Amino acid sequence: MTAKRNPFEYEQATKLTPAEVRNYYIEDFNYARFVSSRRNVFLVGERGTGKTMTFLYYSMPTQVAKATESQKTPDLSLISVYVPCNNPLTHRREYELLDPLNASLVSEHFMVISIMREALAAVYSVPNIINDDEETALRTEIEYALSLTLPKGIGLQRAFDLALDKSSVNVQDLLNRDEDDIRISLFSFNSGIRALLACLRQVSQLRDSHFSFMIDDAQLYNLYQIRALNSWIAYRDNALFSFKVARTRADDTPLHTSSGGSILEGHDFTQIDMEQPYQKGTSAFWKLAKRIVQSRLDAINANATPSDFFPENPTFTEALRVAASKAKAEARAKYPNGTSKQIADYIYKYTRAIYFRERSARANLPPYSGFTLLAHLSTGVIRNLLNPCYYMYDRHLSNLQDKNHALVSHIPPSTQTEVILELSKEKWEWVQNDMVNRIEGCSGELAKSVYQLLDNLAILFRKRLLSKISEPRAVEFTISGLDDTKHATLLEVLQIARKAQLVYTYRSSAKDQGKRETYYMPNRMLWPERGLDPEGQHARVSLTADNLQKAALNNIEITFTGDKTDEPDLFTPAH
Amino acid sequence: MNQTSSLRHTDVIITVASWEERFLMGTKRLIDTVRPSRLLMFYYKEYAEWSKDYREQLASFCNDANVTLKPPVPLSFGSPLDSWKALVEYSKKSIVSKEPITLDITTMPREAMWTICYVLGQMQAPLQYVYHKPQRNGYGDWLSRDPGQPRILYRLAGIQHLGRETALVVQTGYDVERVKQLVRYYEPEKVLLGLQTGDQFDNVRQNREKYKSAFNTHRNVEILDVDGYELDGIQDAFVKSTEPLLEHHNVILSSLGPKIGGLALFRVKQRLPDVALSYAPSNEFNQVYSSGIGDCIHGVLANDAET
Repeated sequence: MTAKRNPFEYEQATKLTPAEVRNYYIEDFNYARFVSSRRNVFLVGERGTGKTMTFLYYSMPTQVAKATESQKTPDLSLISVYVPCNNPLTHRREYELLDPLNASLVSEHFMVISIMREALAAVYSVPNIINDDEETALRTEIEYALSLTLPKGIGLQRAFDLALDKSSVNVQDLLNRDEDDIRISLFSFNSGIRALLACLRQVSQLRDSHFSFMIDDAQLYNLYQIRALNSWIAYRDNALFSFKVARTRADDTPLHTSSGGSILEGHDFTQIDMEQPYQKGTSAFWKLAKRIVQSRLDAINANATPSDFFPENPTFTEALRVAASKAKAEARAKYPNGTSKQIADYIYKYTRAIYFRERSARANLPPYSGFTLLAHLSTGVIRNLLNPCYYMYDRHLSNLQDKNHALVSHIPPSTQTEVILELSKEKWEWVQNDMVNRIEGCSGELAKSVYQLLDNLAILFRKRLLSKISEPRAVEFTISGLDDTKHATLLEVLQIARKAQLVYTYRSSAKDQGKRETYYMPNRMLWPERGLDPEGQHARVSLTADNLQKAALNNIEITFTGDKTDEPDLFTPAH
Repeated sequence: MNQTSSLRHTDVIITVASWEERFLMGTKRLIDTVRPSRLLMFYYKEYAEWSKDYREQLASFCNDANVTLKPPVPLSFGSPLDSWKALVEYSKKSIVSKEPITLDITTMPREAMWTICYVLGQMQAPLQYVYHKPQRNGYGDWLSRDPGQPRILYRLAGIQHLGRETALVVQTGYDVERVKQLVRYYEPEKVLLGLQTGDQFDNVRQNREKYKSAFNTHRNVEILDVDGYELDGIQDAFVKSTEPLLEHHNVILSSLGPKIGGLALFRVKQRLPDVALSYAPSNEFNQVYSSGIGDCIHGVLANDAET
């Protein structure tokens, strides 16, 4: 075992090496089959939900490395092309100064040449994919079909890169020089990407290949580019190419095409929500979390399971065992002839509530620890899962005397508790002091309202946890009586809270069968500082929009009178 | 230079109106010293009420001093396109090519400052810049909040090459969160943070330590020591550190620190035309950010190179 490198480092996925992507990525995400399909797919989710990592994993270089490692031939039926949008070329804004036609042509040109470059790079990441004769023929085809002059005497990929770069630089140069009537040849989807694909199909090994363009951070494209992309998605024939488009949730997906039409979910594309709600110990996310952490532990030869590495505090485990006995006794008293399911449900619902309720008012905050708790604290977001692990590992290493030869077999529960409580405290401080400086569109007033809303939710959830009610550990809510006009401010507060990843949302079944409603799930890292149980339970609290708005704007406590007012309800998981 | 007496005469002063005392006091001082015949004034619509009183007082002062003040031109933080057009068109209309200009950057947002510098560069207008510090201990707790989305300036986006990683070069200020926001937005492969040297205004505690702590877990972040009030020094330091980055990176420059540094970065952009200049806007300003007026820093930009 080695302790020198922190295995839980969570850099941007684009900063990971292909080997790290291969080691850290967990292949069987439940949406992976869509990403490796020939359909058009939108991946929607906030930062840290794994969109880029997914794309990088399925990109050709990683797949080639994976195949090589297992001594297999790379599968060329699907050529996945990773196209990053977050670069200064995408951030250029001169299109706003141009007339709509030139703006549209220039915007599409920049987008098309970036994609073409990545397409050929993906192809060339496969060793020996093109023999010398084919490369000569391909060079001629590309020059003819794309009206490009490729420099002689250098390999095709490099020559193509240089020619595209020159084309891009020429246009940028005109834009920098105030020349807005662009009179040079510009690439469109048809004259660029489709022409290139037609050329590539002449390569014997690519004759039956499908090209999947994985456009990352598509929310950064300008309006003309988004419309162009949507027009390409609207092509009905997906035999040759498809698009996988990742974008953040905070921006509503614009669905218009260049010709004024629209693309439709289910018809033109499939949308995948990358923010998977954490529902229960056996849920897909919990399994995923376990595998993610296991892969990180394997990378340092820790020889431990996530639960071994992040053990629960034994005092807490014992206290829970005692609470479970009490819950069982209560269940038997309440249901003298109850079925085993009734008894088990009761124990599930009340064990942890009894633990929290019976703690002395003077006691310190609970000894938060254990891998299960860490998974719950993540609120279903991978970055939120790895972040506390990173700091715990770092802290533990700092505490060890011989750091260079330190062997880390587990993180002591006391260190886990310390880090969790610190991060939770920092989260609240961030909302109070820093959010206004960090989140775009967040005024001082909005930041204050977000804090007040979360604060009052914490107060309500705490009261519920300490009360003998039917769902004491509910830490999610739905909103009743919501009127877009009357509660516009509340919606704005929630929107900013979502953007700051303090609140997550998902759609699920309502009590009325057939209806679906929005579930709001505050970031569970907020709860330890308030002595709450981040594990929650499969329940949500229905709160009125009026009460929530008053809590956010006027700092008025959310009414709680036991089970009667805020309608706790078991919900049916939709996933 | 810190003495207004060494300021040269120009026929035109360009300024952006503000609610800060140093705007009114500084512009009056400039008019007395530079003796212009015309004052071009811009103001931001979002803060029109805050700056109204000083704009009116200045109009009256100009009248008494026989300085022509054309109707001030409104700009808007929320409409960068309209603001850019207003700045460019009005400047071109009001200035004769190669005419020397005094640019008062004291209360001029960097986006406006860089755009005006761009236009004056096109017109090859020699430029005398002036910056009035607040009085000693005259800074408030905070300057701005509620960051907007960073944006690269029109016509100052440089040349970006396909397939290269991004490097972000920032002249930092006291607000670490705004730098973090830039890093979060552009997701650069490499970050170069220009940090103020010296211990003025509690700089070490407020600035240097905070940055070192905030970025100590980031890969590929380098610190560059700069003196934020010495234009040539800042320019040289940034050029020296930025130039090598251009070999493998697309470079974005941004300024959140002292205003003189912002001007220096424009000079860096002139020296290294391939870099892009990015503005990090704010949507909320502190009405009592500064008080009084202190030293005047000024100098000359030759505008010998067009951007």
